[in-house]
Amino acid sequence: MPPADAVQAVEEEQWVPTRAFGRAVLICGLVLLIAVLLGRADLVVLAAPLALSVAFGLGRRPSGTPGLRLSTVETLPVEGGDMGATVEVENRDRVGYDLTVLQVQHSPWLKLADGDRPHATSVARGMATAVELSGPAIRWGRQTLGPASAYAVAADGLLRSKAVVTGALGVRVYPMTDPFEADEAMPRAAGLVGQHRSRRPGQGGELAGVRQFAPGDRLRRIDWRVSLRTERLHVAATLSDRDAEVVILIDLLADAGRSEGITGAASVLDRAVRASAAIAEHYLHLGDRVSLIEYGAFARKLRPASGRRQYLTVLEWLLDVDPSPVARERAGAQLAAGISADALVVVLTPLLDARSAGMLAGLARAGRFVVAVDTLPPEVEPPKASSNFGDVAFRLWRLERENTIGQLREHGVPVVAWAGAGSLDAVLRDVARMATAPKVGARR
Amino acid sequence: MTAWVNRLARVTAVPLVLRGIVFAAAWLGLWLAVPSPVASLRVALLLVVVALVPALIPGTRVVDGVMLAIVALWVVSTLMVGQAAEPVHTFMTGAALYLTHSAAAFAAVLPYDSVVDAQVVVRWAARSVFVLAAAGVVTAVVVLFAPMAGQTTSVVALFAGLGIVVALIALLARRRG
Repeated sequence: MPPADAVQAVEEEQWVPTRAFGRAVLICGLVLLIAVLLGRADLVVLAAPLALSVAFGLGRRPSGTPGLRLSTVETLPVEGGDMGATVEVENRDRVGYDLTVLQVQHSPWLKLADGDRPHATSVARGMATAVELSGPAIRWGRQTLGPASAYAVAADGLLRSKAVVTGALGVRVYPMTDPFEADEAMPRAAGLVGQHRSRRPGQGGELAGVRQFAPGDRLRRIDWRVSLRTERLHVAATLSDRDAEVVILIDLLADAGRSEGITGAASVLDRAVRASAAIAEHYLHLGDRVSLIEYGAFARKLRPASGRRQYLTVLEWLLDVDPSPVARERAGAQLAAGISADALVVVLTPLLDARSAGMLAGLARAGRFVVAVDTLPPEVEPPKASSNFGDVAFRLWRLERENTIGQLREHGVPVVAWAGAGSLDAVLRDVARMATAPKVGARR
Repeated sequence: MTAWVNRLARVTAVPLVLRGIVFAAAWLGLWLAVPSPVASLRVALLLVVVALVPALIPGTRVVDGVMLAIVALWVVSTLMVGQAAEPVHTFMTGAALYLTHSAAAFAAVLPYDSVVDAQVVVRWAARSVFVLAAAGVVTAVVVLFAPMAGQTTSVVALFAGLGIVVALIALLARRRG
């Protein structure tokens, strides 16, 4: 156990004198010295307010440091949604603090009201004061809140505590799902039996309920027990066994465009993540299985599953999506080996890298049902160049890209620009029609 | 330049008002301490410039300098020029000296762009009023009892007073360390 003097010394070090302390000592001492030397009472009057303030201030000195706690309300915010943070500063001393200045650092994507300013508040002895900050989170991702720091001032501004700093908190901001609806058209969906049932009524094995008999119902589905009890014919209604798999492949070889959050421009990555969330939500809502694959350095993969739990897993998985250029990336055929032959593969790509087009063609050659969604923002501009050739080069690059898209279409890969609701309707109908056609040499 | 404009745009009301109090108190203290024969419009304008400096940089030694200037001017006025030290005049100069110090100490620890709880200002104002009221009582006591002590100061009283001052400074210096 440390000696009492040592403890006292440690406590005293927590509070340091300010420049005002030195000034007060200097001027009080000087004026009183002159007053005594010259026997002038008027100089005592002159120094009285200053001397009294020093005496009152130092009469009771604080010893401990202020307590500081940073917390956030766990509301799992979506982009554009409000989130809140609370900074609580506690005075565990016997002396009230004149003021406590606290500041919270945070990600620029968290637009907390007055979050970039210091907050000054007074804290009475033995009390705690909370400063609440709230505002929208304007971009998806794992954002940071904190660290928060605070220092207290006491004794009429003569003493200042050393800064207290908290740790940082992680805030998950889920991507906003762009409104998305798609046709029910799905290649190789009907008639397959899998682990997961769709939500649509049909001739499957999953009991959906009991309803009255209607023309067209099969006799073997009559529920005799209910029919006898109600004296009306009833049949057991079942869900269909529709079980399609949707693979969302996100091209992370390149990013482009400015990211300005939910209210401004969207980069390639923003569009890809929001579109992925929307597509996954749509198909998971229909009862289909959805999996995600990264086409980039990390090559992460989320196993296929269905239901709301999978939707939450998808959102969590999307938080870690990051552009990851890589020198050698897998070709389409290699990727196709890990994708079910009946799956609908939605590739979100800006088509900025030639390997992306090759990958799409490879997937199509391997017999997968591929839909390419162009995530390049229409407002993307070329970098500013000193010469006039920049615009010409950009136009040439645009033409070359359109040429690539045309070639992909010729190879049976529909390419559509992401436009939210109904983006994929036309191409999905085409893909479903192609799926019913006889295929030659398709690899399974 | 742009950085300065951005900083100015972020200034909030309370730190600005505090700096205003530093300026007003410093100017008042200097003006009250200036010897009457010297007091003129030009001097008043010069004091405006001098008082602006501690208001702009309250966390520096400039505040010490301005407060020392107030004391020095007061000593010159009453000792050399022979100006009478009226109690009210002296008390007001002391109050201005204290407010310059207190507001500058407060402004120095308060960032210029901070959001300040009203309770902080109320607490500071209440403490200032309390200190000035207590100083008013001290002034009244000094004004009442000083003439009774006589005009001459004995050698014993001189050394006792010096002892108190040295003890006070030593105590404050020890606490500071």
